[in-house]
Amino acid sequence: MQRRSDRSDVLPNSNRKAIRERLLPGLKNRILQVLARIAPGATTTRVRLNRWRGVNIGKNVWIGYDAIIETSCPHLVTIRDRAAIGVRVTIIAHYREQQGVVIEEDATLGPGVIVLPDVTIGRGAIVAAGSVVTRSVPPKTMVQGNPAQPIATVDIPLGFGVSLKEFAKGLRPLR
Amino acid sequence: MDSTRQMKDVTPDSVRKFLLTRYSGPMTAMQLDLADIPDDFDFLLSGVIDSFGILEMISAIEDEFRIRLDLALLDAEDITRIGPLARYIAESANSR
Repeated sequence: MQRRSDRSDVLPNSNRKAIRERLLPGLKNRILQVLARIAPGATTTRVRLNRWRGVNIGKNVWIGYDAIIETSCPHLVTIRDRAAIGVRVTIIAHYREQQGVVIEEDATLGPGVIVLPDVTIGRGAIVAAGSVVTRSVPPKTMVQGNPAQPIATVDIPLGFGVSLKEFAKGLRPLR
Repeated sequence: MDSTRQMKDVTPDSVRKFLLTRYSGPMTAMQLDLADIPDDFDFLLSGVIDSFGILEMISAIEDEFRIRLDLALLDAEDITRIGPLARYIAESANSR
């Protein structure tokens, strides 16, 4: 029977290196992610925890409860200033050769939205609740559905301090 | 221009009647008396429509009366209030 001190024979040096370089950072990422999903603080704690994971996040960003922002490669996600990520949004930023998701300034993702890889949500765009975004969304455009389709142009982005009625006033239906 | 797509008569009463007919289902379910809806009745705050419904309402009005709405001069608070909205739409449609 092997003694504990003999483990160097069981685990080759290359495996130990892999654990140090991949497993531990991965573990740290997952722990921070779990905390980021459940912690209170949509503009503070959740934002900070996701930054620590490696997500590129601008100023005054809002992240809702239980949002999943790319599980294993958070550095592939960029969320720019004043963007809002709704409750239970899922952002998947890599699948095979498709990589990266960018949420531009003042964009808003409604609750339960799913964003797939290789997608940019344009400045001031709105994604309606429950939509699945498979292609990039032009700036100042409202999209809805699965796959998300443009339904309106947006004059007044749904930022902090903008009422629903003010926002609605700036919508122009697309036909 | 297609003659069948000419603008319909747009009066505050016709817009009000159209909106009440369109939303009669949910309003009746909420036990509202359609003959006695006040001028400041708010479709959004009363729960008849949701946030997405505002866009649908604007589209429906444009389709029904064959107009293009410019809501720039309308007070944001009035966008879902039946009386002010109906008057604004009639005024802006007839001033063209």
